[in-house]
Amino acid sequence: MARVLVVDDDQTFLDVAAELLEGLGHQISSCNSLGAAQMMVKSQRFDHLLLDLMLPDGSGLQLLDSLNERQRESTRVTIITGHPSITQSVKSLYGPRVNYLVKPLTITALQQALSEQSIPTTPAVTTPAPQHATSSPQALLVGESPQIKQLISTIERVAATDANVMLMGESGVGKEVVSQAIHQASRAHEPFVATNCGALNKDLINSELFGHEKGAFTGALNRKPGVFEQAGAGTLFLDEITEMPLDLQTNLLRVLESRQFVRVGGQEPLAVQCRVISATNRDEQAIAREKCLREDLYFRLAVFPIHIPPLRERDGDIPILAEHFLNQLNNQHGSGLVLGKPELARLCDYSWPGNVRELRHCIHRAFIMTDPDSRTLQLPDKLGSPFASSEANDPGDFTLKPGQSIEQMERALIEMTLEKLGGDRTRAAKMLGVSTKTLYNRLKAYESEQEHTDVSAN
Amino acid sequence: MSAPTNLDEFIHDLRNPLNNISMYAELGKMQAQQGATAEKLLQTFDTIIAQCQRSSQLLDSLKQHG
Repeated sequence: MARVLVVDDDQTFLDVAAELLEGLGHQISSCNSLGAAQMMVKSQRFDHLLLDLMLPDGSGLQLLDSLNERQRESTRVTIITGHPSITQSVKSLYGPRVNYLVKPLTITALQQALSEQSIPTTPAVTTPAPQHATSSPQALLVGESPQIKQLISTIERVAATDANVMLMGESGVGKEVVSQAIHQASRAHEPFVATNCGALNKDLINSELFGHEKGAFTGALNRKPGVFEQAGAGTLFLDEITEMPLDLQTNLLRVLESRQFVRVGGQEPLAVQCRVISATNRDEQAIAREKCLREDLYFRLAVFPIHIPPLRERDGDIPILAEHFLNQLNNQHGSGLVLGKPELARLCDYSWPGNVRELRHCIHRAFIMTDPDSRTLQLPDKLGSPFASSEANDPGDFTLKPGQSIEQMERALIEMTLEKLGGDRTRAAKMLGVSTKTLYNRLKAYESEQEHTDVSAN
Repeated sequence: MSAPTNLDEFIHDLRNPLNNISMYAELGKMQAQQGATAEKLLQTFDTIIAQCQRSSQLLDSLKQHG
């Protein structure tokens, strides 16, 4: 039996695909848009994705970008398309881990696609550790900076204990990778179950966490194990824990305190055996300030808190990570692209507000866009994604760098604000939180400074 | 039913009902083999007929605009 997600905008097709595939013994989930599918792959694990290429809000291929590293390794993808000509061009981009079916489908073709074994493995420079072997964190965490070495030693220490761990770090720093590294170093023979608390349906959250009995509520057709039960004596990874509604956090607290849970609609208490690793992109101060996590639950979850540094604080790892991602793509596609020195320098100069994830996406996009005849990877003119936070969204080149004086920063901020407001000094003063007089004085000082510089230059 | 704007789009749109016809025919076979009720089988055949009509309407729209 495979857990299959079918994504297509044609409801008639979704209905028949679910009925047929369930008849063949598979467990089917379906949705009709890319957005809904992205939410589903965040909160559930699927063995196989059946994707329509053209969806109302994007391409089925975009869903592949939403898969995390572990899902990429374990999920088989079949693209269903109405255009036979597309298959060849897409095939060359996405390699052997994706296969294709052209409409109209037959049951034989579907059966064959679903029965094909997992992705053929190609020799990789850093092969992810097999599921059933204990391995060191170095196999999953790439880098040689002091920060990453410190992180690896912390992981090794926590792996030797049964303590619950809370991972804190900005979006894209690799919280799930760290959680896998802890799992691999401690409970690798047991299951690893990941769920995203932000993507769970509020009404079904208890059922998702603790499972339900048959008939517990409308639609509960069968008994379903929750993530605590699925994780067994392994690791349960609760991502975006601070997104869980406060009133529902009480249930989780009770379970962690009593080390027991009961399926929704059930009677029998079951023991919690797994280690819980939770993750959030907030730090302790923000958690306390925003009151998004109950204090008592925080202490249960963060017996061992780990802060994962943003990429800009370990920028010495950028070349190693970039080479690593490029090698992975080269291996998947049988190509031999290399990173040139100027490209590497550009990668190192960028601040990567989206962290390692942004770097990986950047290399992947560049890999796709690079001229097939080129030997070196060609980077786009502008690095960075439109979603990257903070400074990437700001106009100008206003970036904080150690060594700059407060005067320099103040001047840059004033000039940038004026530029954005088209020179409106009154509004700029208001936005900067200073009086108009102060702003005028500053501008006058800059002017005389400029005149002085010009005179000296002449 | 509005006509698709170009031939590629038209072919894509026509493959959807064709695909449904194929899939429902497969489902009908499975249901017959598993001894499904007549009611279930009739529902399946009704969907096949509806999808044939959808294909026909698409072809008509092409003719009108072609």
